[in-house]
Amino acid sequence: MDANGYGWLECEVAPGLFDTERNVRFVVDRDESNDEIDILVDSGLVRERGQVKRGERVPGRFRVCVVKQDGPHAVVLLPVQNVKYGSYVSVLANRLAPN
Amino acid sequence: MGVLSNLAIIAALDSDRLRIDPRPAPGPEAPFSPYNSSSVDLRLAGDLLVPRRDLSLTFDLRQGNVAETLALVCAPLAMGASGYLLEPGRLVLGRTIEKVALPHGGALAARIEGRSSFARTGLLIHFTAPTIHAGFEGTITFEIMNLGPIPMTLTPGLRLCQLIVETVDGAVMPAPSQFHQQGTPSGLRAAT
Repeated sequence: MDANGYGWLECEVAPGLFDTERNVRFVVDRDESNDEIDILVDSGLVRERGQVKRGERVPGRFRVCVVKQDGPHAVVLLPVQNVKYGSYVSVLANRLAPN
Repeated sequence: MGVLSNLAIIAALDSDRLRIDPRPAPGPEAPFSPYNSSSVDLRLAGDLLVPRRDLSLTFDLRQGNVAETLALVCAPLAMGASGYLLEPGRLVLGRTIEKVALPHGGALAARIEGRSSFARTGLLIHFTAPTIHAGFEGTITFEIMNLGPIPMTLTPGLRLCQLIVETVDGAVMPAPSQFHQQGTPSGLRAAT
């Protein structure tokens, strides 16, 4: 994470509902069974590798706040809540980049 | 926890505890200001999302990918200057023109509320989800519904909601202070 506690989490990026946002899909690390979830995030918090088009996903990262890191696991605060897991989720630390 | 006055909102903007882009203007000393005594009006952007009714889909609310299903259900619509006619009983999604950010460490949260005159016509601009948590950054989504008896016209730039800003008591985890000396509002700005 960077000096402010932010990290960039690997995800797949698709267009959001509005042009100002992106749909990011990522994997949470939960009880040995990884679960893929998505949230709608302001496009300024997303870095995509490639052009985002309807019906397609491109690899990318989005900004999260890193709460703690414990070995291969990390707890992050999402920029918006996910309907299933809320704001704080566990992810694999190797999916986080400092910038 | 307290609600910020208009001058306190401006002070929060000045100190970067709150960001609204573009910044609402003119200030409360001027006529036609978007500032109210303890809130500031935000405007409706020109793009709407109109839920389709011709799909046989079901939202499974146990799943964590509602956003993906929403993208299938909602058709984008760009309002012209004449606006969009919202029929009674219909729901559309809209968003603010303004981008709002509540940086971690700013100790502020916010909520949107409708405006009383609009409410009397039967217009809902959100339901059940008015809260903007500390750390949020982005435009604010409206859930717009016409509960009144007659159609109403939505137009781009309409001052559709008021943003009420509140202080947050206590530290939020993660507290920016745990991240070196740059965890100030201005330090957070540099990171975005």
